[in-house]
Amino acid sequence: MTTNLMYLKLQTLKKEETFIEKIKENEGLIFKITTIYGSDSEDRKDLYQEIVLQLWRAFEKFKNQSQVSTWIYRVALNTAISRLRKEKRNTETISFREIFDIKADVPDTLLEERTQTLYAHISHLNDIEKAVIFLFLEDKSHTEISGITGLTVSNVGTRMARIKDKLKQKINTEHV
Amino acid sequence: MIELEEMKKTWDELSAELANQKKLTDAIILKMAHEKSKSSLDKLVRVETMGGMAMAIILVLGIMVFVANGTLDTWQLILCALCSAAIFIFSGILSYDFIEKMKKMNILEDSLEDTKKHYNDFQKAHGLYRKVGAYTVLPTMIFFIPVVLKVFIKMDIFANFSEAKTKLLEVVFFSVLLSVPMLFIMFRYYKKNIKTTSEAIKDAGVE
Repeated sequence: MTTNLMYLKLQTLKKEETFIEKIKENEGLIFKITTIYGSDSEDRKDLYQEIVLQLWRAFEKFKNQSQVSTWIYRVALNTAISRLRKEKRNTETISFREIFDIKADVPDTLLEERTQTLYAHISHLNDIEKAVIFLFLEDKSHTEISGITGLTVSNVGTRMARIKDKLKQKINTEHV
Repeated sequence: MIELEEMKKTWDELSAELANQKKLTDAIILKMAHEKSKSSLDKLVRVETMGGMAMAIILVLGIMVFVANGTLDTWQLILCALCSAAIFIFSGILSYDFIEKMKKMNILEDSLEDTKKHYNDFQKAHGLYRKVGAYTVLPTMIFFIPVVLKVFIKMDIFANFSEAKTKLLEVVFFSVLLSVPMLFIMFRYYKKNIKTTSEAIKDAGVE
């Protein structure tokens, strides 16, 4: 039996197939979480694997009561935050090249500059604020952010206001 | 100056770029299969090790009673004790072999041929272990109960069977009462974990 056949057989198993499908559909999302919470390239890879493993473990209990993406957001953010707290890692600013290290064509330099600034700003926020801003950037409403993070809707609003203040302060400091 | 709206715009562009990227996750899923089999095997190894330790304690206690106290003073009781010890030692060897076979399985690091070989060895060891376990239940009771009666209640069923009959029936009754649900739970536990392991092996395309 060849390795290819091994993978092929693996793909035919319904459960794994569904899981792989869901992961592949949402891997950009997982990847973005790793760029926010991972400390370096190696750490991001580890975190990516850990999130997939946690999703796999939770997959049996997932009963389609919530949207797949909501479920993935919840599990992935919980994994990233609890891992960070457990290991007390410090996140560093990610380089644009690291994000696209597996992509052959290099995106434009203007986007590169803006992405670096974006990650630099996010890196100054705490674990929960990172999750809130991430979900905000993912176009989630306060109610959806509340559903994913477990924070109350009003708390999400408060935290968003706090994030805005922090960003403003950071920007002002930069310009002084 | 970067505002939330500007951050959002950058994020959207970044997301669009990331959507074009497709990473292979098959290797990670194989790792998951490995993890799944490993955790179910670890559970079996734990139970087996605990069983082995309990058996070793019984043997050591038995030897101490046999050697130091001279409680087992007739040839029938000595024979029963030796047979019990032989069954325990034999079961212990099989259990150790079963643990070793379980420990050898590593879907992630082994080649496909090795995984197949280790899985077959594991299945064979499990089959033998289960068979021997089933066949030795009765002999264990026959040989071990007289020893237990003599050691703990000071009653020799070979010397005075009619007097010991009631106690013997009580011990048999409680042994059955305790062992049947215990065996049922153990059987289910083993079945579940072996099924998980087999599924993981199947997932990896070995079977």
